[in-house]
Amino acid sequence: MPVRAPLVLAWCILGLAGPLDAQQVAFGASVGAVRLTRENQAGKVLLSATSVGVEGAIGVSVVGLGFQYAQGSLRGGTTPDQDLVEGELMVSLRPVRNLAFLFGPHARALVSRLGTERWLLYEGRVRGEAVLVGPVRGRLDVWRVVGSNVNVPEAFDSGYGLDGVLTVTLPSFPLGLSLRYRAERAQLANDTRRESIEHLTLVLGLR
Amino acid sequence: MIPNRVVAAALSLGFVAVPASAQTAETLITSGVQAYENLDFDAAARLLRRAFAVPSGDSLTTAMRAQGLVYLGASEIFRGNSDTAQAVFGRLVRLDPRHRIDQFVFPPEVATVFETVRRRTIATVVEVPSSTSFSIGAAGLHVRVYSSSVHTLSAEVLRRDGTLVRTLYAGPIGDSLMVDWDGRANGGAIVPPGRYLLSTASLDANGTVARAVRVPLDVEVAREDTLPLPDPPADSLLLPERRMGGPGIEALAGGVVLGAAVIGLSSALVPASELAIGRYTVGLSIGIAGIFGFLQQRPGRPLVANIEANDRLRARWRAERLAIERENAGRLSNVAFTIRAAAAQVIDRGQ
Repeated sequence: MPVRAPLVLAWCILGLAGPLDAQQVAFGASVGAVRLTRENQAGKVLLSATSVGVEGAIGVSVVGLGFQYAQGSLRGGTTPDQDLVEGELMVSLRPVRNLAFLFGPHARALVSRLGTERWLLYEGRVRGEAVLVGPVRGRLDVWRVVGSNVNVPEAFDSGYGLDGVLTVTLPSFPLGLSLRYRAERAQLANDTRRESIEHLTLVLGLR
Repeated sequence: MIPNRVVAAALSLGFVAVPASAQTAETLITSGVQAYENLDFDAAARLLRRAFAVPSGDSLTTAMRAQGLVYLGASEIFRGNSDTAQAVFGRLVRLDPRHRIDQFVFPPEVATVFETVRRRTIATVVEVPSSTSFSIGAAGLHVRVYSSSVHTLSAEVLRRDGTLVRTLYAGPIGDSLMVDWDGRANGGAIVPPGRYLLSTASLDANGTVARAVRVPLDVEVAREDTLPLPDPPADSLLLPERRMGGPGIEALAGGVVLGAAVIGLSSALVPASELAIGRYTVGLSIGIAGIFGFLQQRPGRPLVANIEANDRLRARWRAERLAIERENAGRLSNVAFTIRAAAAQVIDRGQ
């Protein structure tokens, strides 16, 4: 009963929010490659990882809620290994079919034996989508960090990112395959430290 | 013989003594017949002629008038006035072409003269029911024509202005003839309701009309209401049969813009990419898919599924229309006539 109660509550909320055919639900599992580049006065460090994760989204009419989670183990050079844990939760508003605005927190943690570096970034995103051919869709998110809370010595200056996705949905089965490329850059301490992180991810999802 | 003549004369005088204006035509005929039977042919002829001369003579029934004429003709024969008798019998034949001499009442010489006159006199009478109702395809208006002698007859249906509508018969007639009118014109079309004339013309040996009979007809035509034909499918119900510009343009613009943005913006964001293959793979895939989508959905390309759907819709409409047309054809052929006939008008030309 304690397990079922939140599900029932969520179902009731969705039912009240709109008719069933206006609801869109998608869940998926991802696997990908991550490259993290850190540049500062001491030099440039490149860390690589293989990540796995999950993601999902639900939309009711023009409003949506999406999340992503991924983790991996970064290795490279002489830098100690770090575990990467990332997650984000975005609320979206889609005023027109091809355009949406998103906002939400994006958290990242880099865990090593020296400690845990926490990044909490609040991002405002613009999403453009297009139906390309039949079941193939293209999507691009572009964002800017509008607020931050990071526990690194340097002060956070600015952050930008983009996320390009190509999705193929099987016509007779609710299964989708997405190829995603994501690039982010953050500048700290008056551009004396730069952090770039890129993801190339394959997502297998149900929708 | 003498006593009879005396009695007849007395009877005649007795009747003559009554003022003629006070005697009805019917009474005069009865008296004339009695005088004939009493062999007083002069008195009979006088009384019978007077019967047709008095004002009430016009109101005599055909049967009474025929009786008077046959006794008058017989009286004239026995008075030696053969020409007069033939004229009287001619009048009788024109009055009633079906009249025959009762050979139990009149001697053979009277019957012989009458038959001679009847055979050379062209006279017809037309009998039409005062009201007839029938459906198209069933028996129509029955018209019976009785003739006094063999001659050529034509029977037609005319409009009131004399325009020919239908020729019912043209040919010889003996004793009688039955013709039917099914309510159609010569071309087979059903006549519209209105007033018509049934016209018969009897021709003599020279081809001249000797007698014409016209019967006014009032024709009512009742048809079953037909069903309205369905309108063709409205444009709003038909799917577009060729691609519009929308989807193809969206694919092309979306694919090119998004693909270029993925490559261009990521190059600006992370110039020294360690996953360049990723950005190019995703960006180029999006762009190529957009171009392919445009080619597949380019404006003007036929939409086979929509064309088939529209064809099915049009086929349903055609089938529905055909069914209604058949139903209407059946209803149109189900025509009910009511024909009312007025009194016949007879026109005789000098015989």
